[in-house]
Amino acid sequence: MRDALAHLGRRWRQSLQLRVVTTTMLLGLLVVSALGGVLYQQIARGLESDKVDTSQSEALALTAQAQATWDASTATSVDALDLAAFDIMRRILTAPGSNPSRYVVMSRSVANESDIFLASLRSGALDISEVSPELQAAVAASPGRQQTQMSEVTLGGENLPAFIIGSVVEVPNAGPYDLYFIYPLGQEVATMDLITNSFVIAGLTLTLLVGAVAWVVTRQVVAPVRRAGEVAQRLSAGKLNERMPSRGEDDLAVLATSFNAMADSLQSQIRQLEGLSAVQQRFVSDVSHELRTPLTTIRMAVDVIHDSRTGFDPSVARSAELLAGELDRFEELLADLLEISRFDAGAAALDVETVDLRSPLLRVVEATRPLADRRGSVVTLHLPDEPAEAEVDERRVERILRNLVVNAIEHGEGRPVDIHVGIGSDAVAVVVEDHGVGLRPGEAANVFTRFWRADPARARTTGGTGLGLSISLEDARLHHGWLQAWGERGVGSRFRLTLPQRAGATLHGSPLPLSPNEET
Amino acid sequence: MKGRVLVVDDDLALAEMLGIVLRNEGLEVHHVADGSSAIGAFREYRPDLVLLDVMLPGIDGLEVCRQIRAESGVPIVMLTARTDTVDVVVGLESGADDYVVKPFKPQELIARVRARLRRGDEPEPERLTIGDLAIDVAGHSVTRGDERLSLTPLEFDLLVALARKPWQVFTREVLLEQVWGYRHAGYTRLVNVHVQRLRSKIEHDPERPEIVVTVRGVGYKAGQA
Repeated sequence: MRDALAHLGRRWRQSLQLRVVTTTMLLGLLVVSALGGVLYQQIARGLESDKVDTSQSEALALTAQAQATWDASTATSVDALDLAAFDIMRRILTAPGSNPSRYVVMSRSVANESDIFLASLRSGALDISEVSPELQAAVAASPGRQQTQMSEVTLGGENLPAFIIGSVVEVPNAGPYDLYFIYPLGQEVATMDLITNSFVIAGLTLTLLVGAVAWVVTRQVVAPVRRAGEVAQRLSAGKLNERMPSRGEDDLAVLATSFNAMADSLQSQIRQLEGLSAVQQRFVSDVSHELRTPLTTIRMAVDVIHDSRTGFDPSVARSAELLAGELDRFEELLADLLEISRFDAGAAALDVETVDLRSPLLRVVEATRPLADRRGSVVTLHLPDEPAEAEVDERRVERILRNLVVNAIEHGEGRPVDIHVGIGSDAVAVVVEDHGVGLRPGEAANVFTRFWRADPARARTTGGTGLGLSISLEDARLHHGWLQAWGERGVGSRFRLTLPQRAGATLHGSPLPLSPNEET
Repeated sequence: MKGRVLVVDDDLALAEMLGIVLRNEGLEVHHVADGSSAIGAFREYRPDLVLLDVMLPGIDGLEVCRQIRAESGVPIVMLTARTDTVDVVVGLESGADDYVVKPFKPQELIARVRARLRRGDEPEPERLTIGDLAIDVAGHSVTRGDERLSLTPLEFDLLVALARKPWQVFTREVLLEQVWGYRHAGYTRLVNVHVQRLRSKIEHDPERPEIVVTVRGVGYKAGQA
């Protein structure tokens, strides 16, 4: 039930057409009901007043006829009078037919003081009990006038409204007797019922028709809008050749035309960018080849020279050493620059497999041990017992970890470096923490900037290209992962790498805190 | 170290330098500068190893590699200026046994060349079985029933390494060390590509390997016989 409601609510919010059709139908229903109500009232009133008029004149005529007959009557005895009364009732007052249009009741007036009592008479199924005492009193109070009343009677088991007219005849010797003409409004009620039914049917039909019209009209408007939406969706999904059909000259055609113009311009811009990116990629590749080949020759020549430096003059030998050392730096810088260009060109690709992060970490720590020993730092690995598995590109992840560990050792001032591994429900994290100079406020955001140096005045002791953390950040992003830095002056700094366990999944949090004060 | 090396490279300075370094190691070196004459020189010179640049005028290095591989199992080491995964994999799939990325250090190159040439020593007579295959180590032959399978020396070494210890799961690093002769995490891709190539030659259905089995997250092992 709740599901159905929720579904309906969603439909309501999503479908313009549903909203328009429903509102139109509701408004239509309101108008039709109001109109029907007014018409119904007018017809009912007309029918009633018609009935009242005819009934009153009929009752007047019948009363006069009855009075004339009494006036001409010679009866004096009670029996004769009863007989005459019965005769008058049967011949004059009783309406013909089994379902008569009127019922007449004759009964002794309240004000009659004669000694002669005539039997009460009635023409049909209704008797004096249907006539209220108020009406009888009113008739007695002014015998010369017709008295009327709307009432309700029970005929054949059903309640019907009825119009009752009271008048008086003067019976010779027996005093005044009341004549009550009861007109049941059965016919009128039936007519009104029929009219009501017709109104309801007509109203509903009209509302449905209005709804259908609204549906057709909104469809004409909504369908192109929906189509525009679908086309836009396909466009954003990368199908740049999608266009809207545009016919005629109306507003919708204008919409389609401008939409297509927008798509054209988007497409050409994207093409242009793609072209630029392809040029960039080719450039990177060409530079790579062109630079690397001569560099290889230089490299080998330098090594040959360097290996035989013992036979050289000391200054030449030292030059050979410097040459070899700087060539290493040059190579590193070139390699890093090319790597960055590849990221910029979007040409970097992941080579994903399931990796237990503990093994690249062990290798990195092993490989950086000579550096750590030189710096006097103790690198401690805090590894979990269970495997920290994730679908990653092992080469890139190892490069990130190596960068972080080397950085921590270089900036750790000989103090211990700690490496923590955390495993979450859908992510794994590695935190590399040093206790060196730390970072000044605001620097945590800068450490990933290319060629950024924490302290330009500080002597550069260990090479490093200034691109290591930038490349690491790009590597992390390629995995849809996070690489974040935290640091405090004099306390140290922490770098946290968080990677989703399943390739391409979105991270929602990290199993390890970034700063030591924070709880995950 | 003794042996004949064919260097195919269009950069004359690099080729000459390669010659100097390799001759210092006691190798004989022959040089061709373009892809079109490489295959002719290969047939004539009969080298023990080919050093092949990927980018060559005329026929490119990959095609040269394919042509040489079509007629010989001679070790081929590619020289590539590209480190992109795709380039490397394409190079290996065209039949190269190993690759070095420019700029490389001379020692690095010599180590690779040495590892590929080392196989000269006569192995002990040894017979192994793996799956439904019989291996004659000294005779360098792999047979399934009466059928002799043609493997390159490298693929043969890979299969022998797995067959010698059928109970052991080999990580890619260990295979790299045992078969290629060096240890470097960045090059484990070599193992993947060569396992694929080996499977395409020895498995009944390379899609569902039974002889060289992948152990997820660890590496490879010999399948149950």
